[in-house]
Amino acid sequence: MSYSGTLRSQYRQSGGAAIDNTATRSAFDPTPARVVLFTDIDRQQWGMVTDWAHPSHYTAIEVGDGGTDNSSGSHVAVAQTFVFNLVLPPRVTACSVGAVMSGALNVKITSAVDTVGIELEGQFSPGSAGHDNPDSAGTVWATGVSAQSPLPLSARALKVAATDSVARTQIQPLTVTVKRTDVTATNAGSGGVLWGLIFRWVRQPLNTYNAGADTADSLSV
Amino acid sequence: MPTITYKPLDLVGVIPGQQMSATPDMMAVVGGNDRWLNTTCAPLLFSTSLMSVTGAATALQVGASTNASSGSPGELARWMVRGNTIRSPITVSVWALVNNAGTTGTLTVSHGGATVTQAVTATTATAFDIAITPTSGTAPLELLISGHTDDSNYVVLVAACARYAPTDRDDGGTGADGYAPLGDQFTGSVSSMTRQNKPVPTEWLARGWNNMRALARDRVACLATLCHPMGSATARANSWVTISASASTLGRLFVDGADNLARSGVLSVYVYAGAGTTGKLVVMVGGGHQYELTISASGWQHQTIDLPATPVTITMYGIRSTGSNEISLMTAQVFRVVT
Repeated sequence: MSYSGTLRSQYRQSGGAAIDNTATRSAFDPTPARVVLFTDIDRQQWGMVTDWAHPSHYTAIEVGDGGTDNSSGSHVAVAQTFVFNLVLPPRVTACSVGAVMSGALNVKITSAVDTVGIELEGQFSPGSAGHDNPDSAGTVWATGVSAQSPLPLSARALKVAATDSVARTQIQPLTVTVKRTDVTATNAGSGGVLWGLIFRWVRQPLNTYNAGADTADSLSV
Repeated sequence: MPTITYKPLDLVGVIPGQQMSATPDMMAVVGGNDRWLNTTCAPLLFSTSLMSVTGAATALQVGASTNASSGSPGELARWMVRGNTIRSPITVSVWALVNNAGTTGTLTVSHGGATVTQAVTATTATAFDIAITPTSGTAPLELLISGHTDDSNYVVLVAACARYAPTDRDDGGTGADGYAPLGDQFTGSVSSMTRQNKPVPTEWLARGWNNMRALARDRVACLATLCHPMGSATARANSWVTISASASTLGRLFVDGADNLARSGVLSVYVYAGAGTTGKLVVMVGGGHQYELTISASGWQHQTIDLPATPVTITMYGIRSTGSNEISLMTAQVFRVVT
C-alpha cells in the first residue's frame, strides 16, 4: 500500500483554521453546486487525517535511572528499561522527541522500525541535591529529519512507522532506556529522573492518491 | 463485510468556480473518505506510563499495583474522556503483570456505566487491548482501571493508553455527535447518492463540511497526560504530594501548540485530599495566565484555560490550607475545548 500522487502540505502547515470551531454550513436553494464547496470538504478531511486532529502529545512519566552495579572502584551505570505504547497518528512516520529530565541522564528510545534509535542526554542540577527535583528539570530534544545514519543519534527524529500511507491510528511500542551519566569508576553518582516525554510528529508534505497507480489504505468493516 | 478505503485526491487543476452536474469520480471518493474518517478517526484519548521508580526497580514500584480482593477492587489509575456523545467503543491498550507466578490478577475497566475485565497471569509486562463501550452518562466521563487478585500477591498496571475503536456507519440520519452519513460508496448499492452520475444535491456539500466539524468537536484529542498510581496518593513527597502551606510543584505538563491561533483549552485534574484536609491547586500556563482551584475533597475538577499557539508549559502548584493530611495531584490532562 502506498501513495504516489502530488505532494500536499499538511493542514496546519498550510494555515488551516481550527476545524472544531468553524461555523456550520447550510445550503439552501438555489445554491449552485460549485466545486469550491467540494474542495472545502476535501480540505477539512485532509485536516482530520493529518495534523489538526492528531496533535503532538506529552506524557508525564517520572522514572529514575537504574542506579549502578555498586562495584566500588568500578561503578557502571545500570539501565532502567521499560516499554511505552505510542499512539501513532495516521500518516506519520517519524517524531521529534523531547525528554524532560533532572539530574544527569541518558535516555535512549528505539522502535520496531528504528532499532538504532535516538539518544538524549542532559544535565540539570546534577548531584544529590537537585537530581530528583521537578523544579530543576529541563528539556532535551532529539530532532531532525527521519532518515537514519549518518546523523548522530541525538540530532534526528525517531522513525516510528515504515510508510506514511497508513491512514489509521496505530500502536507502536517503544523501548525506553534510562541510565545515569554522572558515574565514574569511583563515584556512583546521583543519576536523575525522567519526568516526561514529548512526542512532536514530523509533519512533512504527504503524497496524494494517484488513481490507477496507487493502492489505497483499506479496512474491512 | 464491505471494505472501505482512503484515497486522498490531488485537487490541483480543479477549478473552484466550476459547477458540478453529474457526480464525478472525485465526489464518490470524497464521500468514501468521509466514511473512512467517521470509521477510523481516533485521536489519542490518554497515554500514561505509571512507573514511578526512582531507584532500583521492584515489582511493586513498576506501576500501579494492588492486592485487593474481588469484593473491593483497588483503584489503580483514572483518566477523563471528553466528547464521544455517540458512545463509540474505546480500545484501552495496557501493559500489566502479576508479581508472582501462579497468581491471577484481574483488571477492571469502568467507563460510562460499562465495566470490562481482563485477566493477567504473566510475571513480565504483557500487552492487552481492552474494548469498552460507554452506555450512559454525559461527557466528560471518567475511565477508571481498578484491580484485584485471587491471593495476597499483586497485579500491576504498568502503562495504559486509549483511542476509539473503528466503528462504521454508512446509513441513517444525524447521530448524537452531529455526523450524518453521505452514502455508501463501497458495496455497489445503486441507491447510494454518491454513485456515479447521480444528481448533486447541495445539501450533500453542506453535510460533508458539517461532518468534519462534527467529528472534530466530538473526537477530542488529549494534548497532555499526567497520571500517578491511585495507591500512591500519600507517597512521593516533594513530587505530586504536598503537606505544605507554601506552593509546591505537584506536576508539569507540556502542551505543544495545538492550533495556528490561540484558543481555549480545558485542564481536567483529579486531586486527592486527605481526611479533614483542604487546599488549593494553582495553575500557571506559561508565564502569564494563572488559575486557582479550591480543593475541598478528592475528585475531578475542570478549568477552562487559554492555550497559546506556541508551545507552553503548564505548572500546577499545591497548597495545603487546612488539616494535617496530604494534598495530591493524581491525574491532569489538557484538551481543546469547543466554543
